Amino acid sequence: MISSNDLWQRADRILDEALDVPAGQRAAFLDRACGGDTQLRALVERLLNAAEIEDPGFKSGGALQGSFGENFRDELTKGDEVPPGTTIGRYRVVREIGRGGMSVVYLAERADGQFRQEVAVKLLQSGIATGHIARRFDRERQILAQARHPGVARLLDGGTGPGGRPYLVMEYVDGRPIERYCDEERLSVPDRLRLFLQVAHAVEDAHRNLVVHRDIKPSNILVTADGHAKLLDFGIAKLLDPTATSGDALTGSAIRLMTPAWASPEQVRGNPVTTASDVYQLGLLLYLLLTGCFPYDLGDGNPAARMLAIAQREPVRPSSAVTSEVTGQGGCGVAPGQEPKAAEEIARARGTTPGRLRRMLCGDLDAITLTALRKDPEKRYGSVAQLIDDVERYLAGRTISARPDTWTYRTGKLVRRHAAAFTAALAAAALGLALGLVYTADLMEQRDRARQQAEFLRELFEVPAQSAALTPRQLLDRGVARVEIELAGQPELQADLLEDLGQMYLDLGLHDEARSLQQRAGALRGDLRGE
Amino acid sequence: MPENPADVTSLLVAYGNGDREAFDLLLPMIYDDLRRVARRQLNRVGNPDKVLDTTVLVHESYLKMVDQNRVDWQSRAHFLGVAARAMRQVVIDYARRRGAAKRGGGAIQTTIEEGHIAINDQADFLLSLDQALGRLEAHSPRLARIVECRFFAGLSEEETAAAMGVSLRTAQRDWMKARAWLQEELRA
Repeated sequence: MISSNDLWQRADRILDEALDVPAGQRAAFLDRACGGDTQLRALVERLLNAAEIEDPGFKSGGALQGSFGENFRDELTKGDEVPPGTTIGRYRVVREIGRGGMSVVYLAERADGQFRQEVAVKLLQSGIATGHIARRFDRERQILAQARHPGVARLLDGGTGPGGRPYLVMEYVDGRPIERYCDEERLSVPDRLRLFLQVAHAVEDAHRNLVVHRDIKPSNILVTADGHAKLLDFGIAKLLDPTATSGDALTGSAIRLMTPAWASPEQVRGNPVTTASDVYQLGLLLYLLLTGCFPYDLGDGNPAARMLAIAQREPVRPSSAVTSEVTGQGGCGVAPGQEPKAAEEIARARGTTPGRLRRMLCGDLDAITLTALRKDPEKRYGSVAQLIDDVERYLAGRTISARPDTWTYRTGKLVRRHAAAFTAALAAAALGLALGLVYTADLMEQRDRARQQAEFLRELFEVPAQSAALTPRQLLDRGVARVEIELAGQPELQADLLEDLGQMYLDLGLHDEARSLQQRAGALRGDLRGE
Repeated sequence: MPENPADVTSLLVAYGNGDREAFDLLLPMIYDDLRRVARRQLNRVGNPDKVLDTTVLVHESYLKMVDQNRVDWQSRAHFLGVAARAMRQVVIDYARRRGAAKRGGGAIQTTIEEGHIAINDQADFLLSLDQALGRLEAHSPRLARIVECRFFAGLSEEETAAAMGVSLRTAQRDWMKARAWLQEELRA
């Protein structure tokens, strides 16, 4: 055994040279090279002898030769595969259904025949994070068992199986990964949002039971044929994380157990993982379901570049992402494990065109997604519940919390909520009129009147939440009444507004009401002219 | 949840750019895949003699795990290097399990079935070789890599040279030296 590095280096250098010296001249060479150092010389001579001998047990591929190699191959043939019929705990393996870097998942059924129950048995690879799992499992099991939400595949059992490998038994879900489901079923944006809400509700419920998922990603969410989304592996990431303590602390090294691209900025930085990480990952999921791509380019694959992108790069607005010719261009990224897709293809999978999809995402959905994806956990939605609330508000056509509270926004929203009755022309009238008059009126008086008019319209469309169920007709009737009463001393403004409202009645197909308002406006103007 | 090929490719590129962490992340992925591919090779109908061709093995794994469009020719060499290390682990893990079986309940079997003695001897030999390799690595990481490529992964001289990024002649010379040094280390 050569302990001194100095001796090693000297001997290695002499060995190198000696190998080039013809055998007959080696003795003389070694005399010269080693000087009087007998220890060095003896070592080099042994090395030279060893180098010249072709040891049959030590040749290329030698590690796998002989009976050892045969047995090794036999074991490999059997491998860590579990053939159908093998029992793991109380379950009998039916077939393999999935395989990851750390585990193999089998479809299995109850072996004791008490009742028929199909389960998914996740058998961990040997040699990976095994020692502590059984102990931790007992502790976590109770917590996980509390998360009895229909949107969560329940953890049923666990233990140590064949070859000392730990296994987890989970509810078996017969479904497709959420993203594939959405694309194959050509789900529209609202339908995708509703499916997303199912997932978010499940996560929210778990949060109330103090369980953080930590690894929300499309491959962990299956959708059954009847359209129910189920989250897999709830709390498993923590269970498998050798560095996790009983709290939620997660160190930098633990990121290896995560899917790197889906890590949150705080996970990347090695900061504590909280429910805010799940908000972020739900944001990523939402982004992916809406746009078919990833919010930022993760770089050329260098882990450092990827982590930097996650920690710092600002997401591309969803509405901009879908207008890039091909995903991965224009700043956004290709979702992990996917091919770049053309904008047409992405829109088609959502039953629409790229232009329409962009308009649909622009505004509220941009705001909701980007709020969930903020780098700073404090600036995201404070909880999954708040994220859910905004998506639900969007679907109901109500104002969302993620956007600045401007009157143009709220007015536009109000008009859109009644989109079925309100025509596009009506929306244009309400908004275009108000804005147009504010900005184009050149005369002082006109501008003042326009301001009043805009202000009045704003108030008219601003209704208390409890009366949100007003129909457009009721809204307009109310407006007319208010114009008559409140603007009694300002006939010019009154006339302008009644004309505007008359136009809106016309747009609703209420011709009689429209005509009577036109007449009333005409009469007011006549009075003004002194007729 | 299949292993994401994009990630292996990305890590390989990063490793090629000198990212050591990428090596640590790649190793377990390739370790698992080699076992899988080996199993498939051995179970193949056309392979009744259970020949394990490590060269084919490593290449199959490479083709499967790495997106060929995203890497240059050097990535293959880098992959071979990591795969050779992974093969060393696969083999040594098996030797360890054999050793554990011998010390445990397998003891009676060992004395009865003659074949097992040879196997366990070789398992012991491999374990001490692995330790010697660890010591050699402290003096010369390059020589240790050569042993992984040649002895454990069974790569050819040419492939070893490519994986190491050295000339064929250097690969041959290093292999010769590495064997000499290992025998010296094992002598004690």
